[in-house]
Amino acid sequence: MQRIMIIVAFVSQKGGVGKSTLARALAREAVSSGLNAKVGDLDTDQATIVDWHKVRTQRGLEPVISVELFRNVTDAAKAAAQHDLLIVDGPAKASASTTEIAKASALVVQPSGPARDDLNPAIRVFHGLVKQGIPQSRLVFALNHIGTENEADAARAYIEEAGFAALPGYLPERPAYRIAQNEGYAITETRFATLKKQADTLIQSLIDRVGEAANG
Amino acid sequence: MADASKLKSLRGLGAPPSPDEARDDLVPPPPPQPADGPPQPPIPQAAPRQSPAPITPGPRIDARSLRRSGRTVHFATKVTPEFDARVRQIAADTGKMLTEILEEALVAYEKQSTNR
Repeated sequence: MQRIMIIVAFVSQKGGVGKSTLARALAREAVSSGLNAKVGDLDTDQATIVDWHKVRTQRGLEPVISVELFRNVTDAAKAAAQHDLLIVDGPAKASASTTEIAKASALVVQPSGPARDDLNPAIRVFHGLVKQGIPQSRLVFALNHIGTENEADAARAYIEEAGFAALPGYLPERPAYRIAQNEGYAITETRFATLKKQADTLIQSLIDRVGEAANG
Repeated sequence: MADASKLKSLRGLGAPPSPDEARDDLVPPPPPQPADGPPQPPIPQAAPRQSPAPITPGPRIDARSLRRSGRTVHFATKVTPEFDARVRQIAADTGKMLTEILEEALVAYEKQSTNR
């Protein structure tokens, strides 16, 4: 039976929105579930996930996640041809390469904070991708750096009004997530039960969405 | 049925950008022609930060940095007021520096640990 590889990409208009955070967590949970997943880090300047992978490897953390730095999505897809899932961590800023990444991906996730300053540039990027022929159904937001439930609800309504969807769940703004990642863990591996649950909820909704994308 | 319009009064975010405000700089470049020359070498994985990167400033050079020998390093931590008072009292009583008391305490601790 021929293996079909699914590409899930994380893109953004600006850095620090949570692309690498979500990519790492999705990779961790996919590999834990027995999927043959690979992370393609396309941010050759920052190489955030490559650095994190070094820490994780040095500390001997399980499961072992395959991470590699690539110049573009085409190279990443070739290298991951034998995998079930390729998770692409896009460059820090949206550019023409974002369209190439989106065209190759079954699902494009854009993390965003809840402020207008975060949401507006992010929505413009998705509008731009739609203009380049990417189906709206392949584009989804993930809410990050959330302060309150009301803030999450408002951001979600704003995104929906713009014609896009936001994944159920969100990541609250908490130093514990940063600390976990500093130590080579994914956010779903934080030792704080409530934060772990919130990360699990968001990543599970992402996995569900990937499943829907994979099944057409 | 839930009335989502109530959320609008909560959010204060105004109207989101319309499709007319789409980014127009996301057009991918045309695919490279075969005459472009040999394929590019793969990125060396062991040195991801060696790609053309912005020049980052080195360590600041001033009188203090020029005097720095590296013989000692900062060792900052928080302790209780009682601990602070006890260590300082011992230092004052023995005419030693705080760091000497800490060093001697560490030696004593290590000796005690190995004797267990």
